[in-house]
Amino acid sequence: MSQTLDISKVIKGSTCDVTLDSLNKRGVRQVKVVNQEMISRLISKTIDSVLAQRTEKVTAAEREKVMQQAREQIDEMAKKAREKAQGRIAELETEVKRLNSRLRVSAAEEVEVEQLRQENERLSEEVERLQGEVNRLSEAGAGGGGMGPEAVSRLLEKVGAQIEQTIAAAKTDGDVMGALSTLTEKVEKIRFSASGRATGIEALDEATIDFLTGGKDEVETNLTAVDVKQKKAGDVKGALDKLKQLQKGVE
Amino acid sequence: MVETTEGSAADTQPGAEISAQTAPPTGSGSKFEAGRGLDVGTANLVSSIQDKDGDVTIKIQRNAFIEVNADDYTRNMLTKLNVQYVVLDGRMVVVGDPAFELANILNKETRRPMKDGVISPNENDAMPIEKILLSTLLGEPNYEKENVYFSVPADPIDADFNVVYHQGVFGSLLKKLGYTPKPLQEGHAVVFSELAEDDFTGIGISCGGGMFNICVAYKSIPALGFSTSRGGDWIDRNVATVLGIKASRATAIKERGINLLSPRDREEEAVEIYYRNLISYALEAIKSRFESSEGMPSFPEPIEIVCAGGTSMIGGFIDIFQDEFESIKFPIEVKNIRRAEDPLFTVSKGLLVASLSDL
Repeated sequence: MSQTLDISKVIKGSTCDVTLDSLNKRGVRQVKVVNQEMISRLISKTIDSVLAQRTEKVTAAEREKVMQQAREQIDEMAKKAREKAQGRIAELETEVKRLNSRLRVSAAEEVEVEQLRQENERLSEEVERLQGEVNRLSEAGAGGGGMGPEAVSRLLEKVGAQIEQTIAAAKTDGDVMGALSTLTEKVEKIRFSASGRATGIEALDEATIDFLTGGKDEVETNLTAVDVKQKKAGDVKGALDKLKQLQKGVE
Repeated sequence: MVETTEGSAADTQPGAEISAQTAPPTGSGSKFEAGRGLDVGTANLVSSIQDKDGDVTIKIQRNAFIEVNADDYTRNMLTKLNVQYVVLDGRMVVVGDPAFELANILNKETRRPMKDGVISPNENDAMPIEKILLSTLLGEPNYEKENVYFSVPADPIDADFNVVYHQGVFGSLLKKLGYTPKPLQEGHAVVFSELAEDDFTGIGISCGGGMFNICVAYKSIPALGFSTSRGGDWIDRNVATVLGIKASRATAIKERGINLLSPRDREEEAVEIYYRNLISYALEAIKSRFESSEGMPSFPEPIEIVCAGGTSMIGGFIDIFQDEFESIKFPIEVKNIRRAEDPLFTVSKGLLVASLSDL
């Protein structure tokens, strides 16, 4: 915050009052009187004059040069910020592409799982319906409600045949159930690997490892043609002997 | 330490189809003992094996990769330049150390199969790359179902995840290569490698790229094991942010031979600041875990703390560790804090000790 110079206050603070008698005693007979307001005006004028001279020293050309430099700096900073942002955007786009392709794989498998789940539900409903039919006929038979023993027997045979068919179908769908279970596990494992957080799986089966490592035992590489960095690193004999000795002692 | 190279099937043509599946192993005539150590680190994968004369050979691969243009010229040049590549779904991928060097030259980021000590949940190609890197480090077993002890992190005390899935993945990959996988906590491996003189009693700390792993052991038995979820990568990420550079570049600055006690420029000062913060964070976490643990052993004598892992290799690490250690009231009496003899190989060698003694 700028401070205003109070000239009157400065004059007051820098002067002292002297009586006419005192001056007289010192032999002063005449004094020149200058009005305090006049002094203030003179000082202000002087300051304004100095400031005006200094401002004139900054030419229009210099001002333009300073402005130009400032503009260039701002342009440069903006360019760098833009480049950085574009680089980051490119990285993120690559990441998004990768994740999207991964999601597509997971999504396709989830669709398959969903179809199998629906099929399973349909079969369960069919079994339930037939079971209900059997119950209804049994109850009707027990009550003897107008149906003769032969009719009941025929109906039971019919229902029995239907149940056998359903069971046979369910057996065929045993593969479906197995596949459903495998796929569910697979999807869970992919989700799990994507999260990187364990939920109790202690070892992965070979199929899962194959899936996660790309499933290929053979890849194009020059690894066998290139030497891996190797070093001799002393020995571990001392530590090994001590440990064996300790183990023997403990046993 | 003598550097050697081994011509592993160097007559194979570049781009040849190879099988990652192992052939039936034979132990007879092998010049190596049965049993391997494998440090599965966020930054590096390190395998170790002992020959019949008792010498240990280490193989190391940076756990990183980068995609390059897949054309015949690049294929040939990469092989001539001794640069490893793999083609995955039509994409050419450079793996290991060259990927890191290439990333720095091209001012790009390497892609990392692991993050924060475990298999990366965000990296689609993590599993195929790890499978390939493991096969280059281990090759085929020398013996039927040869043991390989591999490192796993302990559960972190400052993050909400466990290592069960990670352990399962690597166990399965190793099994697929024909080995019998056996997991061992990183910190415990440090104890096996470095604390023999103290009857395997003390605190082993593996300062890795993704985590710090801590193990308190008494006569080789782990009394307490846990991890903190910040490591060298945390430093790289933060240094990269404040300096406006790529994390791979920050790693290169960190590894170019800095001494934390005398940073020479703004970049090294940033590294020093974050290192100090990381060490302080880890020590506070260790202290609070010890104070809250009911199963903590009370040691009859002051114990030793050993720091291993790539993150502990920087100059001045132990001095700053000691500085920060003295500023907290540690609940266990400690006689000495030191860096492991071969920090980058300590965990792998500890795993080898476990494997050869077949615990």
